[in-house]
Amino acid sequence: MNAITAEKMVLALIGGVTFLIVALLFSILGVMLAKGLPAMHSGFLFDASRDFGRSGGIFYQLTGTLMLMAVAVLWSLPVALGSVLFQTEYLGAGKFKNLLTQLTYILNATPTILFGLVGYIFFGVYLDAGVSWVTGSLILAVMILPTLQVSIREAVEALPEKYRETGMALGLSRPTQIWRIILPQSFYGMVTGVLLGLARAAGETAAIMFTATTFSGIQFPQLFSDPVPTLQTHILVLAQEAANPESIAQAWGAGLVLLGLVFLLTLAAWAFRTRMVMESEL
Amino acid sequence: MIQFKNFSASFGGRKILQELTFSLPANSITSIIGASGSGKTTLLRALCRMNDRIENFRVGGSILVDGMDVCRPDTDVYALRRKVGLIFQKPCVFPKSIIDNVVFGIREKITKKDYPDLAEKVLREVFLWEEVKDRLEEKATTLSQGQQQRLTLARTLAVEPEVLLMDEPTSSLDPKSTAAIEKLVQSLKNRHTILWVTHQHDQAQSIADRVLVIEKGQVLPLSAPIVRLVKPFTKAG
Amino acid sequence: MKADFSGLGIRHVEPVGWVFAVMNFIFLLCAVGLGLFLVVESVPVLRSEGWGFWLGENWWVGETFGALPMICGSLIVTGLAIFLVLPVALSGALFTSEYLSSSIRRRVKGVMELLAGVPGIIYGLLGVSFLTAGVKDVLNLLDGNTLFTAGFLLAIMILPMVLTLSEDALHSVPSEFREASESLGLTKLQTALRVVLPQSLPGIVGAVLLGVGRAMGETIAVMLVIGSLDRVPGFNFFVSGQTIPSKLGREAAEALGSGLHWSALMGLGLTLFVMVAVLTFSGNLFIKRSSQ
Ligand SMILES: Nc1ncnc2c1ncn2[C@@H]1O[C@H](COP(=O)(O)OP(=O)(O)OP(=O)(O)O)[C@@H](O)[C@H]1O
Ligand SMILES: [Mg+2]
Repeated sequence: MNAITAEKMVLALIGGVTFLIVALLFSILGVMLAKGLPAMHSGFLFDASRDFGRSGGIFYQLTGTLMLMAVAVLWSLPVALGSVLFQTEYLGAGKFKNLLTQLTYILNATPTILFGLVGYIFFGVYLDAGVSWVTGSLILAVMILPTLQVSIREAVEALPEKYRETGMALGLSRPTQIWRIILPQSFYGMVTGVLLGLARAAGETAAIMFTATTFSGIQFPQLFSDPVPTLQTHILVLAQEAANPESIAQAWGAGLVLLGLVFLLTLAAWAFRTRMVMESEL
Repeated sequence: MIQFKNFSASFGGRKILQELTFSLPANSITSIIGASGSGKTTLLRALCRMNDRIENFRVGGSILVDGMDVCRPDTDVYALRRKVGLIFQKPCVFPKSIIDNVVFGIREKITKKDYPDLAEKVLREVFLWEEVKDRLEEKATTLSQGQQQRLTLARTLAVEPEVLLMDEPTSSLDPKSTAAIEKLVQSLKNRHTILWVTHQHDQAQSIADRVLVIEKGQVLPLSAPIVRLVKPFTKAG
Repeated sequence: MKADFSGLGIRHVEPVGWVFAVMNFIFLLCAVGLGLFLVVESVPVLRSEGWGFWLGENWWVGETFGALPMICGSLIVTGLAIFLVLPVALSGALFTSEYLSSSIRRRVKGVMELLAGVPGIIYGLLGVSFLTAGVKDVLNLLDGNTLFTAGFLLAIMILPMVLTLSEDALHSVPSEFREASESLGLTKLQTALRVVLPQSLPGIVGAVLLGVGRAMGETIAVMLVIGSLDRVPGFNFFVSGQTIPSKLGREAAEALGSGLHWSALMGLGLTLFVMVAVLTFSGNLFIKRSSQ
């Protein structure tokens, strides 16, 4: 009987902790809404920022973030897709394949600021792209490469062996097989990967803050060598002006928009992943 | 002594067992046969409240074990499960050493220095001792299926249950291990009440004192040797 | 066109395959290049400082570069975050996996997974607005930007990820094991602690290590609340400090691309990379050993 009482106490304890965790996380969302919504005056999304970010909107910051994300995925997707297909369709199991898989994991675990440091040296200095949106998008491209690879690989490997065998039995060449069977079957996996990669790029600040972005002076980059304003840098700079209530209010507004963007991409990725699971069960 | 009184069980409104009333005398072997999906496993699992975690599982009526009603919500299920041991169809050993598996259920009831004696006693009861006495510290997962099944039996016996419920314990075993288990169950009869589920009609008749048939949610005694064999893996009706 | 890659286990490759091979090569270059550049670019500072780079306590641009304050800061902050997050995340994972009904469990998991993706900058904003002031008032300090603040913020930040991944590990233990244990009369908690937890330990260690890695590498959130003071902290965690990433975040823009200062930053980057790699590697070793 005593043991059962003890058990009940432990249960109450961990149940309480779980409840507190969920409450804490919801309160984070609540705070974001409570602080961010007041900043959302009409035109917040569509006006340029004024007065060093203290008033106006975040239009160019938003376009800058979207542009960096999108271009990064454009760079990254072909490499991710090509390398995964090479690894799954052309490489036999062996040490080399294991090594490549390990590299994906290492790249995934690498602190993001290191992509900024090394990427700046390589793209900014050696390839002479300077502090610019091109450098930033290339850095983000390398950073999200493992995210894309993992999703695409999951989709390709989830493909039941019988489809592959049917293709082989019909005498399809490998490229035909990839084109007709593997790519269509892993389409949703690819979309999931792209969306998750976009979300990851949207949330990244450290790797691009000194390599690609600017706080003021530029609205939309005209040249390849121009830096770009982004939501992340905007929030970062405003957050450090903690003494100024107008700046902080604008930072909350921009933060809410950024958070909304990341959540939207993640939810969309889940929706596609569910599709993928359902398709593969057919 | 186990008594079923108007006992029914259902999954989400689908009745699997209906208004069963029968009793099992102490120290006897009763075997239950019935088509696949007829509710044999459900009956055994209800007897030791293993279906509690299934949300849409409902029971009605009562099952008395030594006069204690199993189905009441305030029953001490942990005490019940010590009294009523269940052997699963597929042996499930923990990825620990053989000896750890044997003492798993009574670790805090006895002291560590008693482990070897207890292990020897129950392993001898299940005729496994000679095969494993030199490798008690090895992982139990390295044993063969038949050995694992006997190990799970030993593990349950170590808890000293009064009732043993066995759900097709020999269905994945070769004839030799099957014979070993059958012999073993006969030897356990004078101290335990045993309920044995099987698909094999001849096995049921050879080991049991009494054979029951589950059909359409009802339990009927098997009277005359029936010609209509209960075929495994075909749905009733 | 026929290629012989047989040594690498590559099968016959058609022209289209070469395109894939090139893409794979680019990936390989990215991964290897990252490590290589970190090493090459740190050579100048390691030449001029020697071991002193890791042992030196002073970071005076133009004179000497010692990374010890940042290394200590990173270890302390990460250690604090793990110390705070472990009991909480494990309780939550255990409760979610073993006691919640599957529909509620799915909802909790959804929230956790969504929150695991919240950007560091958002936590930074929350940190400067609430946590620093809170720490300052509650603990009665002069300045709320402390190592403890950073560790606490990181703990909140990695909590959803550690929780949901540990829960995955717990939940993936087949229910037969739970049933076998419960049929022997063990209680649910005993079953969870003796059967489920040991079997999912490798997965839990993996989850925690991912959390450690993320905490150790987080730049923005830490940078905003740690106070950025290069000093070897003693055992007082309630003072300002500096971690490797926060230092990099503060100074990368100044040093941009050239000089010994830049090389020193790359040296810091290399150190961080090695620290994360050692952690991950030893974790993998542990997982391999315990899953045998
Ligand atoms: N968890 C569950 N949820 C819903 N229905 C279930 C569940 N478990 C069993 N059933 C249903 O209950 C009925 C009886 O199942 P049970 O496992 O008791 O059959 P059985 O007689 O043991 O069959 P077998 O000989 O194949 O082992 C079946 O129709 C089955 O589909
Ligand atoms: Mg059954």
